[in-house]
Amino acid sequence: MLQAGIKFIAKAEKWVAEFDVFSIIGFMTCLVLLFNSHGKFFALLSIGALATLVFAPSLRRSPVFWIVMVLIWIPRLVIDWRDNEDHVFFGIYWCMAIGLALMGKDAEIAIRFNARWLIGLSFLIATIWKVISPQYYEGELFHYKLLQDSRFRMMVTTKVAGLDASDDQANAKAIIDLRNGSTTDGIAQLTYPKPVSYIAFFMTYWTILIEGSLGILFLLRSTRILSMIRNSLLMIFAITTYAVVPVLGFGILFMTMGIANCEPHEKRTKFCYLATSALILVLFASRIAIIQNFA
Amino acid sequence: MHIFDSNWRSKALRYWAVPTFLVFIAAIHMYRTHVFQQSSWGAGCGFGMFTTVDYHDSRFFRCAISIDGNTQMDAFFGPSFRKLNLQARVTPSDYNLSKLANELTRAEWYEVVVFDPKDESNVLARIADTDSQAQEFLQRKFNDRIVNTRSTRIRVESLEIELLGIRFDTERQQIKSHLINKLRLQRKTPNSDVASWNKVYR
Repeated sequence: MLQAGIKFIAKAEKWVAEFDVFSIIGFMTCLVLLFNSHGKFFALLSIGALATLVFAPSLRRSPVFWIVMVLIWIPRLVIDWRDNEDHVFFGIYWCMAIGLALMGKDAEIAIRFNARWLIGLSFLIATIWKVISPQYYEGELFHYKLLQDSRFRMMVTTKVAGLDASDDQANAKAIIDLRNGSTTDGIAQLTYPKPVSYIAFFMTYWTILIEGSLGILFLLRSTRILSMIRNSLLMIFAITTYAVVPVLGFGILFMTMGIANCEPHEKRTKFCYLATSALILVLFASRIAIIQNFA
Repeated sequence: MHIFDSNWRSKALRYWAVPTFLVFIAAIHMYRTHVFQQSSWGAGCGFGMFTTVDYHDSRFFRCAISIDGNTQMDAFFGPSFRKLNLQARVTPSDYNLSKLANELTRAEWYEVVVFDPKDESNVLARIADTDSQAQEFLQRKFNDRIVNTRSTRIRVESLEIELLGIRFDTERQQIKSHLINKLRLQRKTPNSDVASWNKVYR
């Protein structure tokens, strides 16, 4: 069985290596747009775009295809900018980058450059925000998220930090009372065990470390060793982050950019990025199953 | 399809346009967050998510209404005002708060009186409601008691709305609210059918 598994992986690696990079990133980008759609029209648009790329291979290297996608999304992002999260904008920036890259003969080099700089800049800017925000580096943010955000509570706070159900309910009530004015002093008193604080501070500084490292590493000029380190780190970041906070629009987008950034000899890395994408989706699906079972 | 040849201008556009635009938009977002208290999360592309406890999703409103210009009741509003609600929470400017408050004064408000079913004169709570948002609050407040309610259409003489944010005190294990912006609208001519309002900001 192990031999069969190894053979299968080797075959899959070869297939991915032979597939045109703009086909792979095209399919994955349409998937990202589907995750970011939040509405019937854009969901159907994304599915239609994916189907178009599958059945009309000549469009996979068409800059017009991607520019049209960007133009269709722009009104929503301009008019309803408050209703759209960072990863939605980021996805459209990426579509624009693909479109512009395909307008020249050096499309592979251009998209590799854009992928590297978009990954690097997004992580660097995110790190700068965190480093200049006392609400972040003093640990407030992760304390709040571990106690209030159901994604963290389900995966980390109750299972790992040992927050018990009665304290969880009391905290939820305290926050609701604060919001609807039932408290006179504007304070919600919470109860949680010490491990919550330890985990909050660990996550605070781990995130600065990993995001800062990714920001710097992706903005440095590529070498073989540097490439191996930063690709591995990006996959580790994706698995550890999106297993807890399943923002698929970001997770799959970073994997797509990672594939686009691979040099021609980095065939195994491309395969690993695809495998990591599949893992993120599997983790998301199993999470849904867990929630439904315990609901 | 190669629209551009490989001169330096086309290369600059194809390589640098998107990364430069990303930095430009993120810088604007960062500026607006620090100067105008715009939410650091979402609502644009600043990459400030998971940075601050105070952001549009954790911000909330408190609203109070008076029908006689003096006694105030807690007021609840909901989905009909979602867009204006979000606008004011994302960018808590006087203008956005004013837009929301003006729209609230134009809504149909009901006074909901909660009383003991055995004694109608024993009033347990008096709140103002539009959009049937008060039900959830009342259910939570009186979940272990049998109560009756009576709703009457009212006209707003004054409306006060506060936008609050939160901070987390890790030492005391507390979430604390703080005032971000506040607006009070008072009908210029009491009991008049003409709706014009005096505005008093924070």
